Amino acid sequence: MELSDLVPAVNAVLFERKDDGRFVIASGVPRWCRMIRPDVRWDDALLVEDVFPFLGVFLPDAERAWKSKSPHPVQSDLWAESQHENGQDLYLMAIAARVKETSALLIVRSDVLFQRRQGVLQRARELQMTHTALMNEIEQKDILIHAIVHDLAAPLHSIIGILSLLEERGHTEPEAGWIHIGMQAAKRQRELISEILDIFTAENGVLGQRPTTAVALGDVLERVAAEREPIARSRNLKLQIDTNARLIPRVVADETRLLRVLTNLVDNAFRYSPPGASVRVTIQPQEDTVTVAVEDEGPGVKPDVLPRLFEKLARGRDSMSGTGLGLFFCRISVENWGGGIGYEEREGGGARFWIRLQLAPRTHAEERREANGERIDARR
Amino acid sequence: MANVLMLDDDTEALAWMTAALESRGHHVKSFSTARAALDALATYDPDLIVADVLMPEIDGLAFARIARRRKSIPVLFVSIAKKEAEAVIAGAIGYVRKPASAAEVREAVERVLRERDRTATILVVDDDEDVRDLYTAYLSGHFETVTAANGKEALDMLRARRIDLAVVDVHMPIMNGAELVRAIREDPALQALPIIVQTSDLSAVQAPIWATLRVSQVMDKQRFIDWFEGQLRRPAIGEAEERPRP
Repeated sequence: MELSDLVPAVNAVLFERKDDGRFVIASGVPRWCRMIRPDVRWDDALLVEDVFPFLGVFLPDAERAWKSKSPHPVQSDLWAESQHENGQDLYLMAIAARVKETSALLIVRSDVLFQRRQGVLQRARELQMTHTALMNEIEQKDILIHAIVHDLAAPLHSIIGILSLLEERGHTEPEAGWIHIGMQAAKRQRELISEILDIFTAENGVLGQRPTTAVALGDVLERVAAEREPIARSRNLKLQIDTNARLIPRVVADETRLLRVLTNLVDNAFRYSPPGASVRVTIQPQEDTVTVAVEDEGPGVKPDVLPRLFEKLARGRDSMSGTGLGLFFCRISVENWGGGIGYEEREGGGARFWIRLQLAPRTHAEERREANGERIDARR
Repeated sequence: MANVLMLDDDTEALAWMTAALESRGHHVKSFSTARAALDALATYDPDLIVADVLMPEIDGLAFARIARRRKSIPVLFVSIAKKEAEAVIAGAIGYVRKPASAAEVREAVERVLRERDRTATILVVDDDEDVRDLYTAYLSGHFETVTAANGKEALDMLRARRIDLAVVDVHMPIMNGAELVRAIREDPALQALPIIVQTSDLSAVQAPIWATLRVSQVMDKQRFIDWFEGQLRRPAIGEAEERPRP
């Protein structure tokens, strides 16, 4: 094998840049060159950017490297070319370097690098998804802790209240001392709870402290549809979202949370749907509110679970699945926006979970438009 | 001695708070749902309403709004929730955080009874005169309104007179909104003041410092009037059912 055969043998092709800006081939021509550019006459001097338009972006960098006479090569990004015969992509990379008096341009076919890169991207996507899932879980746990601390405070209100009433009665010793000790302990508890709640709100604005805004319900439902469609398809379920959603104006909510609430309800419906069934999301506007319902064809909720359905750690239809926080999260969220949540059995079987949201106050711009006689989307 | 309407869905709390007030000679009628309390108000004229905030169906804020639309009765909230700013706009002139002792509840009751004719005062802090005028126009129908053009003026005013709620801009000359809020939180006499921050700078809306400074709401200036009107006028969910029955 000649030295010049080494280059095509490692799937590369070498050019030398001439002073007139044309490139002359300085190695054998590897097979892939002819597969992606069957019409090119490789033995003629040519303009590489005509052969590989992608190089138009890279050549300014290459020119600098050739002029600088630095021994360090510069490298282009990967780009894809499709093969003439079978249409499959192959991946190329260019390297420019000054070698003695020669401006050299090496174009390498690099499947391994491409695959590794795809692997890294894939891994990044997976990590991103894990991150999101963990963040959601942390948020739910935070909400749970917050709710538990709140629940600890409620009876403490009565403990402190009753002890303070007893204390006022003016007991003799030792009762007076005992009551005093009880009172001190209860007050320490109160300090502790208030510190925990303060730290919580300071650390993350999530806990009921997230400001509400006017959210376009239609946009949020479109995102739910886009994100959940593929899951529905993979489970052989049909997800039908009321297209009137676009006509609903804005509701009082926090956009990210509303997305999570609706996603939670839809996922819940998927979980209990038999194959081939439909999950429907309907929108029912009332005068000042709008009700969004998620209906499925699953088994529905057992009557004995109903009273505690939206409590924390209650498990709706199946005691084995879920964290038991999903519906609690939904309830806390919608109640924080001045809304409500509920469940009813569907006529003919199946479950119907609904949330009721307040319509956002009209903006002044909307009022002006209406005053000018323009119709506002389906507000009535 | 006063007639007090007491509303709390926690019946234990209801029992001891009732006892605490009755032991001082007040006449207390207690209710565990807002609906029952609203029904009673048709024939009952208490001197004071003491209500919880977080309750199912009709919460305390909605209850206060509906009740005060019918009768001008002073409202004191006793609640776990941090809803002091919303409470002021719902018409309250007193707020006690749970857990509280009998003495703390009584003290707040006496204070509100002494001030029963008082209207809450809202301080608007903004360097833009048009904004101050606009907010004053909206707020003054319901509240006493005072204004300040920067943080320094606002602090002087807060130290000189009683303020129930401050609505604070962020970017202002001399002393900006963040400096003002920090100064308020560091002043023992002012640190409990409810504060709403409103600004045109959307990056400031997202800033994490506000939670640390215990600010009730941070909002886009464009939305403040809408939010305020929503808090004030929008009937609460459930109120529709509360309208006169045929």
